Amino acid sequence: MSYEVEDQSHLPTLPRKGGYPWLLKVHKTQGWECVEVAPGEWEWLPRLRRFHQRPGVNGHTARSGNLAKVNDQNAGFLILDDPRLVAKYRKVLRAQPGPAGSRAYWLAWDTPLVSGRSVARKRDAAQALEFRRWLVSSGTVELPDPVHLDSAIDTMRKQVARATRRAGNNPHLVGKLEQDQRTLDAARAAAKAPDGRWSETPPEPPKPRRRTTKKEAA
Amino acid sequence: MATTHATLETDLRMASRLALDVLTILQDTADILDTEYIVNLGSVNGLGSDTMQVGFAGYANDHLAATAAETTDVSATALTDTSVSVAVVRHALRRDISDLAELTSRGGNDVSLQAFANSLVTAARLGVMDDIAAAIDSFTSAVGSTGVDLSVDTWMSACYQLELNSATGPFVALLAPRALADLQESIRSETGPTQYIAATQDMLNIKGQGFQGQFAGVDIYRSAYIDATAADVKSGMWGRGAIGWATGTVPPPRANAAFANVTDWLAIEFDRDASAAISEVVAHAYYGVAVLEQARGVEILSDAP
Repeated sequence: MSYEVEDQSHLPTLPRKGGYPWLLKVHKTQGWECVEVAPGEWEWLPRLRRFHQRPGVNGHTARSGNLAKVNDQNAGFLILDDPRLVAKYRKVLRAQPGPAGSRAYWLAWDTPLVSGRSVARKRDAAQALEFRRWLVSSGTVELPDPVHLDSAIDTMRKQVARATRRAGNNPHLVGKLEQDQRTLDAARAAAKAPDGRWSETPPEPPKPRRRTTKKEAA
Repeated sequence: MATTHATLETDLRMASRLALDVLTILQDTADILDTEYIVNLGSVNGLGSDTMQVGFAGYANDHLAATAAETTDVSATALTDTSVSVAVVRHALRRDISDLAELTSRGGNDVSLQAFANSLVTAARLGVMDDIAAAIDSFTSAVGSTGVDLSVDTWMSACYQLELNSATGPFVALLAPRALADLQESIRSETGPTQYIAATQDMLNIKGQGFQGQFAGVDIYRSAYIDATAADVKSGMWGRGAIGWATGTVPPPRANAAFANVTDWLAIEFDRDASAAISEVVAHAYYGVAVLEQARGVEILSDAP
């Protein structure tokens, strides 16, 4: 099955040998994190992992990746291998020929910046975030039961508790602690929300002072 | 008129000459193949398949239960079992050199058939490291966050995760260079008795080149082959039994060829195309790497270099 969907021939040849293809996968219950998608707006989103289509890794043979897929599915991963999905997140670039072929596989929202022999990746963070949000909003990946989010919340809670003990009057640590506490509160609230989304209630605007009437003044 | 370098070029002086030594392009050449942290599952030779199915039996998963009465007839309890597949595949790399290039070689580290052959051993071992790094992305548990520096907090979360899973030690962490640098930076701001034990010569002698030290009882190895994206690197921490590899041994050819099984999974042989005056050296490695038990490992996410 071929997933090469995009002609990237207008891009420069990458100065490194190509790599093996991969697909994205998410873990249905353990791979989630609470992300601030907009100021004051939080969502539980899946972490994107890689399903390497690499012979010799995790049960991939040179002929098929079925055993590898079964290995990962048994472990609770959902492999995003529908060609329409793959077209949304992966692109194929040209690379110098090597043992693994002359193609390099990149995320759709990453752009190579070639400088001599090195390649930097420029990421369109908004597009990357949008894809993760789309996975949940489109129903491609179902939000797990809040019970499964508990362990992630518990880890954050322990880090906040530890930071609280250490912070003292150190302004850097206090600032970080406040941020961590805010994330923890948001993660808790979002986990309770049915769709995993939560917005902070904006603080009420200050009430205008009532002017003293002439009668009261008298 | 004085005799200068410029006037002597190009009959008696050269604009440039090759340096005596050929240096190697900087590269991480460390591997963890000979450590206890990668379980060697053996060879598929004579197995009847290129894929080894590793079975797990939960012999002690079920405990003896109290019976309702002293004469209750006890029924049989089925054994809990599972399995993981490790596929052994062919990995190969070939280098060719013409006779003229070979005969003009200046020896030492200069390009030659022998230099190619020597480097193929390292190339094969690093290929396995690449595969181990790819396998790490199949640990179900992950700690850390995308785009955030690896910190002592994340490190301890990884340790806790393994302990929560009742994973048995000793534990090892394979860290990307950026992750290791961030961890050391984070340790600097720690207070209390926490100590990073840097690798000493004695430790390096025992544990090999990639060993970087020990922190919180976990051995640390650094590898440049850890999977990286624009936003994060995917290092890993695991206990013995989490990752394994199976191998295959190349049967020696019957022809009168120059062939050597360097190890039980790597063979190097020389061949020659006489009519083209080209000599070639080919390495074949047969192996496969896989995560054996998810609960024994945890992925550590941290920001990219």
